[in-house]
Amino acid sequence: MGDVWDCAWRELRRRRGRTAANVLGYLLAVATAVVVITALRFSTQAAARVLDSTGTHFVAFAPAVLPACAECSVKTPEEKGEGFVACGVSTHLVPVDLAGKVKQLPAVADASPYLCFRFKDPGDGHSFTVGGFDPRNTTAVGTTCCAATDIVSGRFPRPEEQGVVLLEEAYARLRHAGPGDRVAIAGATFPVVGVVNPGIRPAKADIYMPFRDAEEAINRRLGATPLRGEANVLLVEVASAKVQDEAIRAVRRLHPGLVVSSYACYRPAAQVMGMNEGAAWLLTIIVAVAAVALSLKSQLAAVLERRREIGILKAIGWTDGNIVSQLLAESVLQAALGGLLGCALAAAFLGLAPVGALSGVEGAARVALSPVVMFAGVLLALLGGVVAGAIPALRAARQRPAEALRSI
Amino acid sequence: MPSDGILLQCTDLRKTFTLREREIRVLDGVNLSVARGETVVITGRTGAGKSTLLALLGGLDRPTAGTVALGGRNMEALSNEELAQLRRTQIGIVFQSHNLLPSWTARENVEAALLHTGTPAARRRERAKALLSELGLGDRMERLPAELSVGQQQLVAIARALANEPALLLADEPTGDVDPESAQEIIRLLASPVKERGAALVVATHGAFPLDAADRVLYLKDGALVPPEAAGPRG
Repeated sequence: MGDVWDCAWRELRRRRGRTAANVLGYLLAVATAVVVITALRFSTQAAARVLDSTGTHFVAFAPAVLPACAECSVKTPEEKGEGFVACGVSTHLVPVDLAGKVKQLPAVADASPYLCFRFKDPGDGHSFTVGGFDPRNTTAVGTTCCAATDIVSGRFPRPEEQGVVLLEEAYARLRHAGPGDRVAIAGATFPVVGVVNPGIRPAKADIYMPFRDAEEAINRRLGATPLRGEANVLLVEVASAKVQDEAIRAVRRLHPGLVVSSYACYRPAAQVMGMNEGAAWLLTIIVAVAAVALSLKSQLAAVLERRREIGILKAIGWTDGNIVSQLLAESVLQAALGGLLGCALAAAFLGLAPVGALSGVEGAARVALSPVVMFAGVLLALLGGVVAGAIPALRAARQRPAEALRSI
Repeated sequence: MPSDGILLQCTDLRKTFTLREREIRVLDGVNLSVARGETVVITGRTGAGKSTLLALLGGLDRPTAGTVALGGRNMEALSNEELAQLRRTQIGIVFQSHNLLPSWTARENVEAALLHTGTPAARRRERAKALLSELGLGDRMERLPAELSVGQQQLVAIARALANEPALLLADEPTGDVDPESAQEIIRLLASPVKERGAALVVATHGAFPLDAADRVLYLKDGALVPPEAAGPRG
């Protein structure tokens, strides 16, 4: 076999122009494939980071219009117009530890209990809702209720902080209140530490306060039947947009009396993620096929050009196998050289071009060149080299020496 | 090897080419026997089929009908691989147009005939150098064919044909493109294995090769071999 590689290498060195053209073909094909695959992987991963958490949360509650389930309890305040609400409807109560059970579900990333109670101001008679959340929880609370990033003015309560409230921006404007003011809730006053705008989150309230403070405030309204480890809403963060339906079904199985309210955008998000992955694979295959086709064309032209030489070699006793080995070795050497140089070019391009910045995805500005992709690029070139070398070589080897010598 | 010393035997050899749906019969019943140590010159007009006949004798092509046997082995019965092996070990061919590999040096062209024969690289190189030196190309063996004169190219082609010490040497117009002095040298070179090793030499020429160097001269006319006296006034 040493003779074959020696002859192949010599042949490539002697025919520098043709070798350079073939190597350049492999180089460009591999560099393009590596850049496209890397860019697609980057794009898919960046998109997945955004889409994976798009609409991946919901709230679950037991509406009061349904008969109370076995685990549900009904508690009604003495004051008319007050009570537990969620998404505009009155609700029953569920045990707080149900959140822990929901959190254990495979499709669920996080869950937190929530109290949402509508109060009536005894002074001017206006109604407002209080949302009692766990300030230590940033995942489920942050996506369904309010988060530190929603702060418009002031600050967000610290994890263990008690006795403070946040105002929803519209409510704050209506009441002309802001950080530093105090608000009265069920006979007690609380300092306002911040104003938030949580947008259209499903567990929206007018005033947000720590869960225990909310529990105490509500108990003052419930009188003889205070809360005993209960909540009326579960805040749930799902593991991924792709398992949102599975998570909803699992929560309903766990507690059939619950109604789930979620964003519908997780569905298109999950579809887009699937489309992105599909498109990445399709483009990768197209690039691979194009690279092999280009190499094949180049090798075929080179072999046709050398038809007479092949005839001479056969005339002096080279077998079909010798001819195929020789042409294949030349093709594979060119492919290996082109593949390695193509990877180097791709690495240089990806290092210099601002592909990450061009994507516009926050926090995803760095494009990492995977060794697996580089290896796949070289492998692709070698595969192209074998296919592109074998087909014309087998064709050339089949002809009789006299035919090859006569044809020129 | 047949006991009567016949190395090459072809019987009722026919070759037909199809060109634009027209059949062209080039050889039409060629019978030829060549003994070891014999030099046969085949002459005839241009286009008579001399090169086609040499291609069939050298196993470069398959006949339409008839048989070619070398050392008692019928080439028709051999596979492509076996035929290639026969060419590699038993046959040496000098082409009319030299047919050297353009990107290989003179030495490498000679060595090409010994590649895939199991000969170690050092011995191949040694043999190629010895042959080229003997032919007066000692100082040009690392040159490419394009850097050699036509006559020198022909000498390289002869060296390549002699490299494997063939039993049958076929030469197509070996002196066609060279001056008389070089022609004499070529004739001497081709005759040496015949004299020294008892190889058989078949030369195809339309007149450039001196007929007196042959043991036998045959004329190819109308697709068949005939003695020159039977070829008529144009023969």
